[in-house]
Amino acid sequence: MSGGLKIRVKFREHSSEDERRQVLDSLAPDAERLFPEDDDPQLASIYVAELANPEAADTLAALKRSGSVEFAEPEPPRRLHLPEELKEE
Amino acid sequence: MTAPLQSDVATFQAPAERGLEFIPGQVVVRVHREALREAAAAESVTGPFELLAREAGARSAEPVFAAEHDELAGLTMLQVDESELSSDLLRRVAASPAIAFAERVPARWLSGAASPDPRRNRQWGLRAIRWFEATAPDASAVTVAICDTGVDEAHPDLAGVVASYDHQDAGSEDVVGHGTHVSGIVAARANDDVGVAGVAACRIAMWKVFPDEPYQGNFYVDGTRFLRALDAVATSGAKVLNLSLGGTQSSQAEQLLFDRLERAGVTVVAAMGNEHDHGNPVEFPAAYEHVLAVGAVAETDRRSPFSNTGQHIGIAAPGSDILSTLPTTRSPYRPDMSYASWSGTSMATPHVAAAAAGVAARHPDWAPAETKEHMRTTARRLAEMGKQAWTDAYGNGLLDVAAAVAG
Repeated sequence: MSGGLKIRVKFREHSSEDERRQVLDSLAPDAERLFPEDDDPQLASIYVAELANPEAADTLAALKRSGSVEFAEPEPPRRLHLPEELKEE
Repeated sequence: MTAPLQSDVATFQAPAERGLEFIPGQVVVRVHREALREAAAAESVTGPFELLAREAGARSAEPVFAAEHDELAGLTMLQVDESELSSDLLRRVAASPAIAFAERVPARWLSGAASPDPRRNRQWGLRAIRWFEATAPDASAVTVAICDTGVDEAHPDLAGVVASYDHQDAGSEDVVGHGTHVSGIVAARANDDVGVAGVAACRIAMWKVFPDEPYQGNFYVDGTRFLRALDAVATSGAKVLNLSLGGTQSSQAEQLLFDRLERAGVTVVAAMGNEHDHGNPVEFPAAYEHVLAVGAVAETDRRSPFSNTGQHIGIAAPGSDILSTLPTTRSPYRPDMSYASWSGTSMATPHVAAAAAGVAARHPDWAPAETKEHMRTTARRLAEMGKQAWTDAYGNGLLDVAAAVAG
């Protein structure tokens, strides 16, 4: 796991490519589509990015305020449910 | 360390049918009796064993007969890594003047006799879910998708079971073994004279979403890979998805993918989590809408002490001391190979996933919501539930696969 904050941004499906690029260029220029091959509007409107600390929280808040963004969220950690036999004491 | 036992592999069926000529991972070495007596020959005796340890991971060398059995003294059985064993290595071992011979252990069988899976009597979970009473439909066309640590496709008990394995740029080896254990619970080949029986005779599609290296003592998915795997499952034709993973934060992006899976006809089952004594948190994806959350019970029919409870639980299944398959290769992340009994809601969940595959085979036109509802309504109410139809420890009760797949 890296040190930055990984985020997911979903734009409203009616937002244009220009609108999306404008938001991302100013806030998360390295963002890329989560499903680059998919032209389904729902999936094609989701982007992922890694934000450098310590500005990450402010950037995430700014993304959420954007009118063309449906949601922006940090990537939640998902871990393996380790069997009891493998847990360290 | 649980080494494969001779009784775990083909002993009753002709090798021509099984394709198995030798007991995997077993070597017998005969040390000359004279060499055993002569202290001067010590190095010529230990050298070959050290060679086997160095090149084939030999361990637990045990005399086949007691020392007083002078006629048969020196016969020694060793467990080795099957993948490292070669004829050349055995020739080099036998080249020592102290060694009479070194050979693999041939498989032996009884003509005409039939044997179920040799370790099945240790699978208490099959009895608990009334697997033996079930009239299972043909589920060979049903695929259960699993997002996990990978799978050992070469495991003898999973031969022909793995329909697809997507590990992308990660290695194919399942170093943790978790995914192989889950896979065995779902679909280890039954009645094949090998090891254990899975709950359903279905196929498995594995997506390896975990890295091979832990982070701060646990394994975390790459979020992008995980979401892409969920999307791939939705379009794969799989009827069931098993998720033995989780975390306390919810995600709108994940919920969106689970909505898609539901619309695509995939029944999703997820583990409640093993942190009951560490705050008993609500965990996702188990707590998402459209996901059947599975808790664990022990052989006593009581909740496994580690199993989380909560308002989102749908059903319970065996999750303590569950015997299943492990990779046949060694790993620093687990003490066992081939088979072991593990405990966790991760082990309960694949019982339900496999049962869902059976339901999908019986009712191919059912939507996931119908499948989940059916398994909940056919679950067995446990004594610990009192008179209640649902509790936050057991959901609607213990999975009853016989009732779930009944015609």
